[in-house]
Amino acid sequence: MILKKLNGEQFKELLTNGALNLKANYEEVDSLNVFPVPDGDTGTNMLRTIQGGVSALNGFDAKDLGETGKVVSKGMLMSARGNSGVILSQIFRGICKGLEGKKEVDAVQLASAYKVGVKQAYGAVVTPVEGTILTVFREATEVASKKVNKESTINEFLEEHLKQAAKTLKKTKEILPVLKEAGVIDSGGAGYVYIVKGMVKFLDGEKIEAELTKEETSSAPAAEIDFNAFTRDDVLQFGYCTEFILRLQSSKVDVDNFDVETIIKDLNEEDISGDSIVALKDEDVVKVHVHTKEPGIVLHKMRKYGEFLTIKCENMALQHNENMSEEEREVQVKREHKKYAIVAVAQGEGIIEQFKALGVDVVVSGNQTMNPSTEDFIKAFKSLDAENIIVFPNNKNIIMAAKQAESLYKGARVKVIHSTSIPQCYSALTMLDFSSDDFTIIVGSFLEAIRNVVTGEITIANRSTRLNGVSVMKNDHIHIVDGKLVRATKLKNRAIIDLLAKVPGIEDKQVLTVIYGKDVTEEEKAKNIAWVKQKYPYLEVGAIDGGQAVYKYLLAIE
Amino acid sequence: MNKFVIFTDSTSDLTTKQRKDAGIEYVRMLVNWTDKEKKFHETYACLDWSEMTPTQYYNLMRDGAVIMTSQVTEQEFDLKFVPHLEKGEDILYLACSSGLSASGALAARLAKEKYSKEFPKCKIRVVDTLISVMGEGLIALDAAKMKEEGKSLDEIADEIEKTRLTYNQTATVEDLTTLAKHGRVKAAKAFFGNLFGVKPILISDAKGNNFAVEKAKGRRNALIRVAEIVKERVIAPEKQICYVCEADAKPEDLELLVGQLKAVGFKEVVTQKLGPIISASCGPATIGVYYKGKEETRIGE
Repeated sequence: MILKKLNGEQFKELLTNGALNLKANYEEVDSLNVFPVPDGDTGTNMLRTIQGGVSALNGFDAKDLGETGKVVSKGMLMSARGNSGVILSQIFRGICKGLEGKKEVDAVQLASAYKVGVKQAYGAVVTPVEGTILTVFREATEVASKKVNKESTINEFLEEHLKQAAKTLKKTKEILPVLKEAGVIDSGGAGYVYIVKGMVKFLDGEKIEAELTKEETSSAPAAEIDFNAFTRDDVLQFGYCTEFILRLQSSKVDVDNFDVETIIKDLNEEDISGDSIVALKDEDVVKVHVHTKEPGIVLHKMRKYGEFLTIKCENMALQHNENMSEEEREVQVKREHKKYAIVAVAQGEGIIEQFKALGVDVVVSGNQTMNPSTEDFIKAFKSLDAENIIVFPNNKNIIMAAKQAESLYKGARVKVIHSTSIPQCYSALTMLDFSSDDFTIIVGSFLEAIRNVVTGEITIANRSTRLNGVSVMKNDHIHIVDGKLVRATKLKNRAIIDLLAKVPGIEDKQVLTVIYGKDVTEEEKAKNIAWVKQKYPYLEVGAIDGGQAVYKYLLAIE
Repeated sequence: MNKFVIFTDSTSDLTTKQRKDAGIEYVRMLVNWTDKEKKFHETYACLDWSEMTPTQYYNLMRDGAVIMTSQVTEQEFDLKFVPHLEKGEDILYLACSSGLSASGALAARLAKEKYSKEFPKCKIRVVDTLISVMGEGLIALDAAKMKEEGKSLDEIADEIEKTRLTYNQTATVEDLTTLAKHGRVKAAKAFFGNLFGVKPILISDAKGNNFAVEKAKGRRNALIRVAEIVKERVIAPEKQICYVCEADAKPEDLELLVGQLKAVGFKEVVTQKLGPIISASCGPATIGVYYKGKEETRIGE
């Protein structure tokens, strides 16, 4: 199929096939891992991110390219998880911005849209690292853009884009020293190349041997509505889940400078008393979600700013709202208003229990092999009735999705603490003190606690490799100090003291908290602790049964 | 005008020599505990440590005994106050903070309902020091100085009521178990969280309660923080003695803190034992620093 121009329907097909091709290969992308530890599964993360974009198009009439792009962009933004997933969502956000207002584009126009993608993706990352998906996408876009002219087809642009992407991908090994030592190419870049390959294959008429499962392609089918859930004698308790899309009107407001906070303020007024407010503005369109007992007032008030594109309003007592599960309903009833709330990412029963005891309001399930999405964070925020929300992502591959949620959520002031490990979060929580009633001081004291803690991680290597100058044999105990592999050893009973010996300034440390993983024997625990007490008598040592996967020991060294 | 005598109580932690030199008397509170053989013990909280040494006493707690304390009894007041009243002397009782003990309140009630009737010519004035340990002790020493200078009982009492919140406490405990068992400390909800590794900094607040104002991670950090706070709050350190009261803290910890305090510029830093009452609710190895500084305005919730 030769395309001179690309329309919305075709864009949807390209994207779907890109996703399919990644689906056929994502496990290989997952295995491109620098650390010999089950790690942030880049392929899985990217797949789920792009699937979010594809499934958002279900039921959408994808004729207009620009409008299709908007739906894709939002879908990917919400489903983004993991660093590569977030960057991918930003790449498409930029491309879709570049497509806005266009019913269809030619190769030159598509190239300019891709350039907006480059700008958007680089802008979204605080310190862009070359040798990653960013470089792959940028160079591919630059080279392909130069090769297209008015006569070129969409096929030519994407083929050139793919050619260069594959070339740059091979180079990533040379650009990033850590990839070179581990002998792998960048996983995010590899995932991206599979997506583009899928698009090109579609144009070539090649069928991809993968299938997006039903669940992945369509949003959950609406359940049967049980009208008996709200009888003539019932009293409205939960109100209405009210969602609408509003087109801001120039005759009513200054559209470009309109602040979505105005709407949030309205929804918080007493006559509406909105709950679970989410309001997002994208150009002249505002999408709003609110729970209220007075949807009529909402609709009346919103017409001050524009006209509705869609309205959905459902009695929350009925069980037909797929956005509201039984647990959420529970939360809805029980939750109390809080000035400050904490959301933390964790996995492992013991750790979750500890976190809750230490003051965490909502635990978002996740760890380094399972990265929660932007939407998972937003759901957690929505479940709270809080003025200020402090978020601990606890993994470097989760921070970006959390930050994305921070910037999208308007229902509270959200602050993502850049915590990269469970021990950091644990330590910060032990120092929790809201008594200053000053957000800056509270956040500052968390950051101070995190600066003061060294994270130790002990796990088993799942393959042999060489990293950081350390040779690792499969099944070795590997010791990681603040994210750096420092040692590989077979001695399991001395694991903790061997790690401590590699901690800079250990002689000035005072408190050691050991978080046991789920597969540690009592004997190993006892022997390890005994060694610590003997070798570091001045350390105050405490232990928690964390029950986490992957890591036998997580250490907070303070 | 009658002669008068200055009294304080078991929480003032004044040593035998300090009391003797300054002519200060004290009324005793009580402590009790059940030992491992389930035997019940009760004894006066003596500042002379005549029954057992401080270390023996702190070790009781280390061995797990929960020591309960009780306020000064009516009998004790009769025993200590009446001989002076019989001689026609007035009494100035500088009592342990009302936030911690009802001893002062009982004395005030006895004075009004009993002693004023039995000894109508004698006056008893009770001043709530709103602090304990050497904060209370320092107030008593300053009162004795004023008496020496010829000030009257009421002048002294008025002066102390005016200045009592400038006597500062900055303290820290080694282990939160004892504090948790006694629940004698005010702190914001969820302040303590997990008990492990966290060291609260305790002040005597404007209502005389022990209040955990902040926390530090690790003993050494806590001690360094204590010294920092002292430096922030002290006024004219060169003119005063700083008292460090400790319940068998590790020598190296004590050395660290004293070194830091000396650097603050005190005329002298004196180390002495933490008395039987406050150590019972704060636990072994507690260290408190007492000095004059900024007026305390904070109030624990």
